[in-house]
Amino acid sequence: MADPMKIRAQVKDDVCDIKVLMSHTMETGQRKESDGSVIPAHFIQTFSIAVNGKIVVDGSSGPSVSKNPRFGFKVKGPKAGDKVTVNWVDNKGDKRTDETTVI
Amino acid sequence: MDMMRRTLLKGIGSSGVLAAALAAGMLKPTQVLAADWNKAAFEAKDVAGALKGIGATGAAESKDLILTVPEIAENGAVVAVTAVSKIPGTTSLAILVDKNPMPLSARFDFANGALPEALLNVKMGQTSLVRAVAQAGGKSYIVQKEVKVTMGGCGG
Amino acid sequence: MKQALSMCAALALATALPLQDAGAQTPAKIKPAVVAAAPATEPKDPVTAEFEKFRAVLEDGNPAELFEVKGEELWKTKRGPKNASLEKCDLGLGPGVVNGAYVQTPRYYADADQVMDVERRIAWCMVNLQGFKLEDLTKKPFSNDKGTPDLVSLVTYVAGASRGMKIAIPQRHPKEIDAYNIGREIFDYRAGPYDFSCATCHGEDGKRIRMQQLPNLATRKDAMRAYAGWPGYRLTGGFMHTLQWRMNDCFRQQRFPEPGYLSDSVTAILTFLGANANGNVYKGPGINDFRERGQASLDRLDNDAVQHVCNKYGNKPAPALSHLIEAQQLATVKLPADGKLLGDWKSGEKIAQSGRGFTWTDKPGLPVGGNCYNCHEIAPTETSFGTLGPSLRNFGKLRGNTPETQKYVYSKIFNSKAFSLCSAMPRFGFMGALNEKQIQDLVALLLDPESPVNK
Repeated sequence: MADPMKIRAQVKDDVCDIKVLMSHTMETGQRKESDGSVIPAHFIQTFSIAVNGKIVVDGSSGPSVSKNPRFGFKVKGPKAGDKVTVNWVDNKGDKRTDETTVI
Repeated sequence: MDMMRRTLLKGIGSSGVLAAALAAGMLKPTQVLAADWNKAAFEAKDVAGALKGIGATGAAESKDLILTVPEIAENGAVVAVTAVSKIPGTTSLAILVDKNPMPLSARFDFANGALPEALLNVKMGQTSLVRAVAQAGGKSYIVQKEVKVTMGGCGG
Repeated sequence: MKQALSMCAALALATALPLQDAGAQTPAKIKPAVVAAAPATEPKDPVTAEFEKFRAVLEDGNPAELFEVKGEELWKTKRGPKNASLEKCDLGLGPGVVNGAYVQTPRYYADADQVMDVERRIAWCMVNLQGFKLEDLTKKPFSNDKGTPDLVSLVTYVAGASRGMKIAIPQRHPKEIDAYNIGREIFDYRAGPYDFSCATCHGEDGKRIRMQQLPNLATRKDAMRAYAGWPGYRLTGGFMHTLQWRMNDCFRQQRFPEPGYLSDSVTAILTFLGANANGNVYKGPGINDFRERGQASLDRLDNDAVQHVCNKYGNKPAPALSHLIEAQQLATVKLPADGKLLGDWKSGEKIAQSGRGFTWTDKPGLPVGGNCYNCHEIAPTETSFGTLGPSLRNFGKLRGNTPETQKYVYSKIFNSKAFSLCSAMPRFGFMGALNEKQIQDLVALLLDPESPVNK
């Protein structure tokens, strides 16, 4: 099973700063093992961020996003106590959902 | 497809249909999203192909699109990129690295109060232009900056 | 992107965050760090300043936090043959106390009658409380492409629980003091094909390997900085690593045999780095924990005359003794039979760039690299260069491409100790690291008027 994400959502002056760290290898499919065989690509393809169930950011990524991806976004409106849910799906169908509360 | 996707995103978001559907166990957002990966754009081998894939061919340069990247990256494995669009009505941003084998790194659609800005880390194999593309009102805008990738560590 | 991402890890031990200013009054902030950060040095060149910006941006949202989350989950979950959590594990402050424990290790544990660093202690708890087998924990101890060992995540969690606390490694129990002394001996011990000790790179202020800042671990300020920067998330490869790994990889790059994971020697050197007290007596290296791996055989720890004398006199032997051995070293220099000393500068540049060779992960045999840019500024076209050695810019222009200079440069690369007995520079020809042609090519890189060095 995929490892947990780390999500931080802090509101200041009506704008909520959302930072997400995802635990993922983001293998490019370009690298080779020492025996010459190609390490298959394995990367997050799509993710979404929702505040109280409403999607605010709908993202998609390729394998050139860094290992253990970090994303940051700003959203107008959320209040302390609102729920932020993040989920991702990778090219092998693995997925992960985590949530946090806006502070 | 992208227009449809945005429309869908807006529609779902504003009406709360998604939340209702989720609550009813009718659909998982992951299922919707997984089908939504833009294969043609992400697997394009050059910038022109990637831009075509996201419907941004012929994007106009804009000063209202602000791209922040390091001038020199000590380590190409993790290069922080921030893109902020001041173009009214911006609904999406995309990040491209020209000299990566597949230039398109990521694309974001915004809705329900999300500001059109994004921070992410990308890999860079070598010194290259990094581009941000914004889409607003059916038009595309672009900006680019060079990032020099140096050799870190002990060279062994 | 593959080539650039598979570069070797930097030799530097340090890394640290702008966060800590480890003065006597200020508590050193400790937290899992993005490993790449450099200590602030003055004056700053534009490249260094740009790198500091680069690192500062990355520090906000440090992937190390992911491993803290994972580690906390592991700590609190009932696992292992005994189906127990680690919540009764005594890290030194009482069973289950995690807060503040990291900054007070390594320390003596009466139940084990041993000094242990935090990684070793958590392993001890996993064995004794949870019933895991030590062999299983030590088989593949470091993060790699296949994953991150649980122990690494656990260490990261425990380290995170000491954030903002002052480093206070005890030096009370006789075994704690012993560990410190042994650690210092290992730190200063020169050996192996390149005559390196830890102090070769970490014994002076303000030096670099390539663009990597090197802390002077002989000083309290830098030693604390190095200690505080770990466990760290390494940008190259994106792996979470602990101090146990850092020590292992330093010895690899030092061209030593491999130190045992969780061994006394590694605990000792961590005690030395952590405690960094003064006034202890040299007792001979604690090298029993090293084992042969690949080409790095145990005899690399044996000393020849140069290493012996430099070790014995702290790199400052009496002039008469120095001159005697320097003359012996000069006699080892074999000049090319055909008298040709100047090769091809283009090949020389490639040799200067490469830092490969002689570690336990390298294939035995030639060709190996010259490691030149690790320590020297050479051609202006390469902006990533170290500062452990003098700048070699315009070397030929300044010295002239004369037969005498060619002979000196060839001989210096062949056996640096012929000219300065305890020089930090390896003896490339003498040790068989570089062959005749490679040295000729390097001579050309420095002296050929067509070489970029002299442009």
